[in-house]
Amino acid sequence: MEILQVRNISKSFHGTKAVDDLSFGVEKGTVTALIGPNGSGKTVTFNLVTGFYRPTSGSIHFKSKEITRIAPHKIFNLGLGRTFQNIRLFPQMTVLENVLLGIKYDRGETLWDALFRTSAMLEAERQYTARAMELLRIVGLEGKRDELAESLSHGQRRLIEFARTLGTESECYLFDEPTAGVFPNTIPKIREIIKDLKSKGKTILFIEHNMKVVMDISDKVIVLNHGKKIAEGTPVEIQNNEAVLDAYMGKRRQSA
Amino acid sequence: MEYFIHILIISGIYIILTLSLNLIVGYTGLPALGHIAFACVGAYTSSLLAMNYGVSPWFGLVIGACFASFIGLIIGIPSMRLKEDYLAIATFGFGVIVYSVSKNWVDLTRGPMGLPGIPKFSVFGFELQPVWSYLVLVAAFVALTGLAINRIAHSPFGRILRSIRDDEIASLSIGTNVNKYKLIVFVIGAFFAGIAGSLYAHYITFIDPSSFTVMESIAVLLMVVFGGMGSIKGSFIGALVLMIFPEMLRFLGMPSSVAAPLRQMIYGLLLIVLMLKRPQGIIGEYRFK
Repeated sequence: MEILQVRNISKSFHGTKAVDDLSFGVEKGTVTALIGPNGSGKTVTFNLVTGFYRPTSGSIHFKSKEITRIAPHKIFNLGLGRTFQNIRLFPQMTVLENVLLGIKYDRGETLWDALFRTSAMLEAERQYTARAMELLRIVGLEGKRDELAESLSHGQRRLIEFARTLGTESECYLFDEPTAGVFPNTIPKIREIIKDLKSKGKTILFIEHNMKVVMDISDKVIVLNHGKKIAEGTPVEIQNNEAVLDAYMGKRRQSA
Repeated sequence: MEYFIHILIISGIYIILTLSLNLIVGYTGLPALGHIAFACVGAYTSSLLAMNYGVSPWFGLVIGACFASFIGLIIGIPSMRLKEDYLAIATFGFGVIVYSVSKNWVDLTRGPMGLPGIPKFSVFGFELQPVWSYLVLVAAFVALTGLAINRIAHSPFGRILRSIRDDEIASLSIGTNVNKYKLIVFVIGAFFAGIAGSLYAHYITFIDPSSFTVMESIAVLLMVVFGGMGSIKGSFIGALVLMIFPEMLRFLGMPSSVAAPLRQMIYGLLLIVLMLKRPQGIIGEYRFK
């Protein structure tokens, strides 16, 4: 079953088509990579799917429900979590608070709870702090819990954003360049996290430039260029696809 | 001595204003420049109720605060869609509108002549006359406000507010209905500002529009920034220092023609030095981006 369906979406910015009549589907429980040269519309596609941009035309369906013109926080609440290419943490809050914010509070989060310090709030806080610490241990940053997010290195911030997104327990995750600018030693950790999510039946769509990672963990690869889909298939198929090689290397290869 | 207590009472009223504005500006990151307008609504509501309908100032205070909240809601719904500078301008405009209404709706507010003879608070039929009783009363409301804002700040609810302040887009991406939270905060802030206005009216027993100019809103904002955005203690310190310090300069023994402008200049200088040396305020943690 396709959990996410993108149907003929286009997005123009002042006449420039960033995404041009793009359609694809993401199977439930699979890992799909979205690749393409810089400026090919990958991040724009993410922003369209998660509601931060509205498409000029076309529609997007998640779990057979149309989400084309729905606000970002509502799309999230349907089960679609994401990370950002340029890492968005809450810089002047602690690492622990950052992760806690991702965790879905089913109680104890209202104004009423705050004003009367209800037992529901205190109990939820205890329970979810333990959960947040668990997530911090997964990314190996439990020692940083009380530091401000802004004081961390780029790679650490990437991991905190990961931990925060994992806490949302979404059904489908969109990761925008999860390994970009990360210390090489950290990449296997991120790869493991994604594989682990897949083994739990989650669906993952991710943008990535590191081809090793793409080939290793994805079930399907979608290639964009100039806002259009130029290829779709398994990693092996994509590796040998002429159009893809042209897009990445240029046409010179043919005359050689 | 009475003069000193008077200064403390006025400072207390400003602490309430500063705390409630701190929730909006310091914790949620919304630049609001019209905070005194809510105090104006609260003050006029409870004064007019007391003078025209004999409503007890205690009830007037609650009704005034609720009405200020209501106005906050009405103003908040359209303006919370605006961001940053635009929101600042919208709230500034709101402050001007409320000031103009209080000045020009002469039939209701007596305009620039103000409302003299506002009844004082009374307990068991005895009017509260001594100055110290107002100090106790205001202190109680300061404590109440401080407690409420402190609890809001240190709770999962408050954490969401700070996440909006730090990065609105990231907050949206983890499911925060940002506009709803902004609106709630605006309404709470208006509520406490309404209480402050009402306390002021029934203590001084006279109000006129000149007490509620936009400059007053700026003064409260300065107290928030001076003490430290996102800090409860900071609001206390900011309001106390900026209220008491100019009063102390009165005792320098200069002719008033020199003293008044000099006070303003020292005040200004103090703020410039502070912003250069400690942009997060005296004990604040948060720095405006």
